[in-house]
Amino acid sequence: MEKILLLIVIIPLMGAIIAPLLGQKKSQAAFMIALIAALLSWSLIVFLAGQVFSHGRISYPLGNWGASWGIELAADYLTVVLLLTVNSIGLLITIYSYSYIEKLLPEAKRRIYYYCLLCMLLAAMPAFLMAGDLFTMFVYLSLFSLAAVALIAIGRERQAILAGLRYLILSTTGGVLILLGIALLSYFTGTMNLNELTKRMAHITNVKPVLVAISIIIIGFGVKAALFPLHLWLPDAHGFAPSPISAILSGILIELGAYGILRCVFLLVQLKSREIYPFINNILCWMSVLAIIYGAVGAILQQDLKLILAYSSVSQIGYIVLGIALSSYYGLLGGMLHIINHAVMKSALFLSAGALLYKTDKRTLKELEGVGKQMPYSAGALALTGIAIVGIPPACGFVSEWYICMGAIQAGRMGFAICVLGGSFLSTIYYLRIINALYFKPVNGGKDTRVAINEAPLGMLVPIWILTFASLWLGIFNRWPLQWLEKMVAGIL
Amino acid sequence: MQTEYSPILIFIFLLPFLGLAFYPVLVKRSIIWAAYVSAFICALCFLMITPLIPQVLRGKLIVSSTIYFSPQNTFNPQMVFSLRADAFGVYFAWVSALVWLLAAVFSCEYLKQTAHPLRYFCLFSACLSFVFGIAFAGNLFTLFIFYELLTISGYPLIAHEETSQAKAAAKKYIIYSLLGDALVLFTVLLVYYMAGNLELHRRGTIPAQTGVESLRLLLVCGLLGFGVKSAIMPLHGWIYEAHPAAPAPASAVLSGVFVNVGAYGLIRLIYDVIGFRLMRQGALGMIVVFPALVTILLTSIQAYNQDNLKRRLAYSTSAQISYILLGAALLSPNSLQGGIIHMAYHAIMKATLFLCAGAIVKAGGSEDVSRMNGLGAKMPLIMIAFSIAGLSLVGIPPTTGFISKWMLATGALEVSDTGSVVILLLGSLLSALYILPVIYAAFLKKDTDQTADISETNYQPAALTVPLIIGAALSVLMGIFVNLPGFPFSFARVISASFLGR
Amino acid sequence: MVCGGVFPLILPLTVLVSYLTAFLIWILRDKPAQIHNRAAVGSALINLALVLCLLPGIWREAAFSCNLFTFIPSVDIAFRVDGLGYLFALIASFYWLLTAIYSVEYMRNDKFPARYWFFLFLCMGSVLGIAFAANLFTLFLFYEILTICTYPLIVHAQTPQAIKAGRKYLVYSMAGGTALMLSLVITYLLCGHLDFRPGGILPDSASYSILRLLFITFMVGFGVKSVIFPLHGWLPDAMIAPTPVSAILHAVAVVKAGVYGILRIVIDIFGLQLLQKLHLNEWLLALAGITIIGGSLMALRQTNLKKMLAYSTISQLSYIILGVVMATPSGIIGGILQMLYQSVMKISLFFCAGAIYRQTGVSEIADMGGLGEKIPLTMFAFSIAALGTIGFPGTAGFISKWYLAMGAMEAGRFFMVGVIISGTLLNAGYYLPLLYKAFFQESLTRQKGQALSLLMTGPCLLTAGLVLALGLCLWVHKLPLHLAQNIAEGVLYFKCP
Repeated sequence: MEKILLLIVIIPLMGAIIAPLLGQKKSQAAFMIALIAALLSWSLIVFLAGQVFSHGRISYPLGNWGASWGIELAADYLTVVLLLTVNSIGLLITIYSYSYIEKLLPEAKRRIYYYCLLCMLLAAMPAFLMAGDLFTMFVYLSLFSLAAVALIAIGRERQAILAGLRYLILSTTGGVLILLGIALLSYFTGTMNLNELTKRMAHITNVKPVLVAISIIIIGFGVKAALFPLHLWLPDAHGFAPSPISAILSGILIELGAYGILRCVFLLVQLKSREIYPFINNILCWMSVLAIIYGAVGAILQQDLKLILAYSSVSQIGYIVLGIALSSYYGLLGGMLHIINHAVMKSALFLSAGALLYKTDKRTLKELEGVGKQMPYSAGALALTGIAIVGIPPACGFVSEWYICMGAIQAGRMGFAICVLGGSFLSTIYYLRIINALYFKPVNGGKDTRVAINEAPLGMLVPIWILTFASLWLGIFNRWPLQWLEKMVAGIL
Repeated sequence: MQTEYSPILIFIFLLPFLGLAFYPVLVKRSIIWAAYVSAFICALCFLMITPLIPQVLRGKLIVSSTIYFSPQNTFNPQMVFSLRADAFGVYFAWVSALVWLLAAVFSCEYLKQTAHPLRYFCLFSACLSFVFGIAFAGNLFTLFIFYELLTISGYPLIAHEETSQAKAAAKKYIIYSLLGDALVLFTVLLVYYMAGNLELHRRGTIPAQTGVESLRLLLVCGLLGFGVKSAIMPLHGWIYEAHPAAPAPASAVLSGVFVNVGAYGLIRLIYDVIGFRLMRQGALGMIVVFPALVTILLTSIQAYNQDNLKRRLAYSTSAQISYILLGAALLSPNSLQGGIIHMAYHAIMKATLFLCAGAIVKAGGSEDVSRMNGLGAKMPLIMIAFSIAGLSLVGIPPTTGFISKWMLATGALEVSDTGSVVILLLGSLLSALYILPVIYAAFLKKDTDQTADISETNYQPAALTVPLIIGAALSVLMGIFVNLPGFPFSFARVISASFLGR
Repeated sequence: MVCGGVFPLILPLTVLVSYLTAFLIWILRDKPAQIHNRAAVGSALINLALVLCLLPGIWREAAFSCNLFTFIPSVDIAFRVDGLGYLFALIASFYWLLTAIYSVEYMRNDKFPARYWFFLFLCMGSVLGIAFAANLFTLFLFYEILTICTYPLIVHAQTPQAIKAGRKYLVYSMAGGTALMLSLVITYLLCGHLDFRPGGILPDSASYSILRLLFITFMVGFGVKSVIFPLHGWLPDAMIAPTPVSAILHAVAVVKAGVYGILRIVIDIFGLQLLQKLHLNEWLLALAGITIIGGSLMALRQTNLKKMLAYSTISQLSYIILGVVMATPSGIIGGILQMLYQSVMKISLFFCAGAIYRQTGVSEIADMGGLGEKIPLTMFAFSIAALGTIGFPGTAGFISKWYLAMGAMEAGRFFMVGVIISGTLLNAGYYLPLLYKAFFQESLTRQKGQALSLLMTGPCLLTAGLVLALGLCLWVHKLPLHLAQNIAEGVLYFKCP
C-alpha cells in the first residue's frame, strides 16, 4: 500500500531511463513512453488520493531508518491535492508536447532528450511534494531544477541558452542556501524530518539560530519560487523556454518553491508565540506585496505575450506567498488554494500562448493582432483563462483572491487586502491588452475581416481546453480542494 | 356647499379634443373647413358651459370625476385627478370659451393660407381643453398638470410663423414659463408640506396655526410662479415679445386667457389654499399688492413708449392683469369683485384689440402706430371696434373698463388704501395716453404721405369683422347691463361671497 | 412567504436560457443571420414568458428562492426574487425582447453578428442573475460577468475610439469591481454571511468608522455602473457602441444593475435605519443631488445626440437613489417607479436616436434641423420620450417625479425638492431645444429620410406609446405601482391604506 508512494516516483524515473533507449529509432516511441509513465503515475496518484482522503496521512519510510534521520515519503491532504493538480498538468503537458516539440526540435535525437528530461521532471515533482524531510525535498528540487535548465535551453536559441544559464546559476545559489539552512536546522534541532520538526518546534529554547536557519531555507525556496526580488531568472526563462516548459516552469516549478515556503511557514507557525516570528512574516508579506505590484506593472509594460504571462507569474506568486505569510486561517487557505489555481490557469495560459506561437511564429501583441479570428479555440482559451487570472468570479482566480483578501483583513492588515485587489485591478489592464490584440484590433487595416481559420492540432487543443475548463470548475466547485485544505490548516493552527 | 355630481365637466373638458380627430383629414382638403370646425367646437363648448351657470350661481359645486392615479388601496401622494367646478371655475371657463370662440371665428379668415395648419388647429383646440382643465381643477395636482400642459402647448402657437423673431420670442416665452412652472410646482409641494393635501374649494386648507413666515414663503413662491404667466413686473419679459410674434388669434387667446390663467391660479392659492382669514391675519395681501402696483405704473409707461401696436397692447396686458391681482390681494369685497369682473372684461376687450391689430396687418397695413394715419376711413368697422374696446380699456363710462376700475377703487378705499387708488387712476390716465393716440391717428389724422400701406380699401370680410363687433359690443353691453344674470358681475358677487366667507 | 413548487426553478432557468442561447448562436455562427435572429427573438420571448410566470406570486407578495450550491461557507450561489428584483427582471426581459427585435434590423449589415448576439445574451443572463440574486455574492458574481461581457459590445466597431472607450469602461468597472470585492470581504467578516435581508444585516455594534468605510467602498463598487458623479466618466464614451447596445446596456441593463446594487446595499445590507444612524443618507443624498445637477449641466454642453442622452442617463439614474434614500413612502415608491419609467423613456430615446441615424445619418444635434418633417414618426416618438424624461404631465416621467418631489416634501427636505425641480428644468433645457430644432428649423439638406422597416420603428413607437400609457392609463400604471408599493411597505414597515 505505502509502496505506491515510491512507485509514483519510480515509474517516471524508469521512463526517463527507457525513453532514450527505446526511442533511438523513433522519437514517437519516446513520447509514448513518457506518456505511459505520466499516465501510470497519474493513475497511481488518483488511487493514492482516494486512500488519503478516506484514511488520512500515509507515509513510507525509505530504508527503514529512524524517524528523525530517515528518508521518508509521506502524503497528507495538502500533498495529495497538490499532487493531483500538478501531475494532471504534467500529463496534459506531455500530451501537448508531442506536436509542439515536433516543430520546435526537428532533429529526432533532441526530441528524445526532451522526453527523457520531461520524465525526470515528472518524477522529481511528486517526489518533492511527497518528501517527508527537508533533505529529500532539496534533492528532488535540485533534480527538478537541473532538468528544467536543460529544457529551457533545449531550443538552442541564444536567448534560451542565456536564460537557462541564468536560471542555472540562480537556482544553484538557491539550492546551496537551502542546503545550508537544512544543515543548520538539523544541527540545532537534531532532525530533518518535517513531522518531527513540527513537534520539536514548540519546545525549542534557543529560537534565534533556528529562525535564521529557516529564514535561509525560505530565501532558497524564494529563489525557486521567483519571489520578488529573487525573480530575476524568471521572465527570460519563461519567455524563451519552449511553451510546454514555460507552462511547467510557471505552472509547477514556482509552485513547488511556494510549497517549500509553505512548509517552512508551517514550522514557523508553531513558534508563533515568540517575538521574532512576526518580523520574518512581515518581510515576507512586504516582499509578496511588492511582487504583486511589480509583476503586474511589469506585465503591463511588456510587448511579448509570453513575457506578459511570465511577469504575471511574478505577480501571482506574490499572492500565494502573501496568503501563506499572513498565516491567518483564511490567508493560509487562500495561499494554498492559489497554488493549485495558479498552477492550472497559468499552465493553460502558457499552453494556449504556445499554440499561438506554434501556428503563427509571432510573439508580440502587435504581431498577434487579429489572431483571435484565425485561431478561435486557442485564443478563446487564452481569453477565458485570463478571466481567472484577473480574478473575475466564478473563475478560480477569484476564489483564492477572496480568501487571501479575507486573510489579510483577518490578520488586521487592511492595506494588504487593498494591495491584493490593486494587483488584480492591474492585471485587468494587461489582460485587456491581450484581449484587444487578439480580438478587437482591426486586421489588415480593417479591410479584410474574413480570416481563414488555421487552428492548432487537436493534441494541443485538448490539453488547453481541459485546463481551461478546470480553471472554471475549480472556481465554481471550489469546495472540493478547500475541504481538504481546511482540514490541513485547522490541523496546523 | 351643495354638491352636484354630473359628468358634464368631463364632456366639456374632452370636447375640444374632438377636433383633433377631424383636423388631419380636413387640413388636407381646405384649411378653412378646419377653422370652421375649430370655431364650431369652441361654440359648442361655450354652449355646454352655459347651462352650468345658473347652478353655480346658486352656490352649487359641480363634481364630475375623481380619478386616482394609483389603484385603490395604495399609497397615493395626492396624485388625484379631479374635476369640480364652482362659480369661479365656471366663470373662468366661460370667459375663456368666449375668447376662444372669437379668436376661432377670426382664424377662419386670418389663417386660411397658413403653413402648418394641422399643428396650429390641434394645439389651438388642445389649449382650450387645458384651460378648462385649469378652470375645473378640483385640486392643485390637476391644476398644475394642465398649467404645465398649457405652457408647452403655447410654444408652437407663438412660434407658429417660424420667423426668426417668432422663434426667439417663443424661446423667451418657454424659458420664462418653465421657470415659472417650476416655482408653481414648488408652491404646490409646499402646500402639501403645510396642509398635507392639495384640495381646492375648501376656502383655506392650510391649518390656522401655520406660522406667518411659512405663509409668506408660500405666497411669494406662488406669486413668482403664477406671476410669470400673468406677467408681473420683473417676470413680464416674455409678453411683449410673444404677443407681436404670434398670429393674431393666438395673441388674442394669449392676452385674453393665458395671462388670466396665472391670475386665476394665484387667486385660487390666496382664497382656496391660504384662505381669506389667514391672509387677513398675516396682512399677506401686501406681498401681491405692491408688485401689482409697480407693474401697473411701469408697464403702462413702457406701453406708451412703444410704436408697434401689438407690443403696446402687450405691455398694456401686463398692466391690466395687475389690476386683477390687485383686486384679489386688497382683500376687500368690492375690490375682489372688481378684480374678478376685470378678468372677463379685460379678456374680451384685449382679445378684440389684438384681433383688430391682426385685421389691420391682414389687410396689408402696418403694425406701427405712426403709420396708421387715416386708417379709420379705409377699414371703418374694424377701427370702430378697436376704438370701443380701446375706450373700454381706458375706462370711460359706460364701458366695462369703467365698472371694474370703479369697483377696484371703491374696494381700495374700503380698506383705506389710498395709495392704490392714486395709482389706479394714474394707470387709467396712462392707458388713455397709449390708446387714444391710436384712435386719434386712425380717425382724425390724414394719410398725407400714403404711409399706411393698405392698397385694397374696405377689406372687411365677415369672418374678420364679426368677432370684432361682438367683442366691442360686449364691452359696452356688459358695462351697461352690469347686473344681468350670467354677466360677470353676477358671478363676481357669488364668488366674492364664497371666498370671503359671507 | 416563500413559495415552493416548480416556480423557484424558473429563476435559474431564465438565466440559463440566456446563456444557452448565447452558446447556441455561437455554435451556429456560420449560419445565415436569419437563424441568429430567430434564435435571439425566440429566446427573448421565452425569457419574458418565464419572468411573467412569476408575476402572480409576486403580486401576492410572495418570494421565490432557489439555492444552487455553496460557494464559500454560508455563502451560496442562490436565487431569490422579491418585488424589487422582480421589477428589475421584468424591465430587463421586456426591453430585451424589444432590443432583440430592433437589433435584427439595425445590425443587418454588421461584420460580426454572431459575436454581437453572443455577448448580448451573456449580458442578458447576467442581468437576470443580478436581479434574482439572493445574496450579495451571487449579485457580485453576475455583476462581474456582466462587466466582462459588456466590453466586447462596446468595442464592437473595432475602431480606435471604440477600443479606447472600451478600455475606459473596463478600467472604471474593474476598479469598481475590486472595491466591491473588498467590501464583500469586509461584510462577510462582519456578518458571517452575505444574504439580503430587509432591514440590513450589518450589526450596528461594529465600529462606525469601519461601517462608513465599507459604505464608501460599496459606493465606489456600484457607483461606477450607476454612474454616480465622480465615477461617470466612462458612460458618454461608451456611446460609441451600436445603438441597440447603448439602448439596452446604457439605459437599462448595465446602469440599472449598478443602481439595483446600491438599492440592495441601502435596503438589505445596511438598512435604512443604520444608514441614518451613520448619517450616510445625507452623504448619499448630496452625491445624488450633485449627480443630478452635474449630469444635466454636462448634457447641456453636448453636441452629439447619443452623448447627450448618456449624460441625461447619468442625471436620471440618481433620482432613483435620491428617492429611496429619503426613506419616505412616496420617496421610495417614486424611486422605484423612476427606475422603471426612466428606462422606458431612455430606451425609447435611444431607439429613436438609432432610427434617426439609420434614416438620415444624423448623429450630431446641430444637424437635426427639419427632422420633424423628414421622419415624422420617429421624431414623434422621440418627442414623447423626451417630454417624458423632462417629467411632463401626461407622461410616465411626471408620475415618478411627482412621487419623488412629494417624498422629499414628506421628509421635509426642501433642498432636495429644489434639486428635483431644477433638475427637471435643466432636462427641459437640453431636450426642448432639440425638439425645437427638429420641428421648427429648416433642414440643412434636402435629402429625404430613408424608409425604415417596421422592426425598427415598431420598438420606437411601442416604447413611446408606453411612456404615454404609463402616464395616462391607470390600468397600465397599476402593475408597477403595486410592485413599488409592496417594496416600500417591505422597506419601511408601513401598511398602505
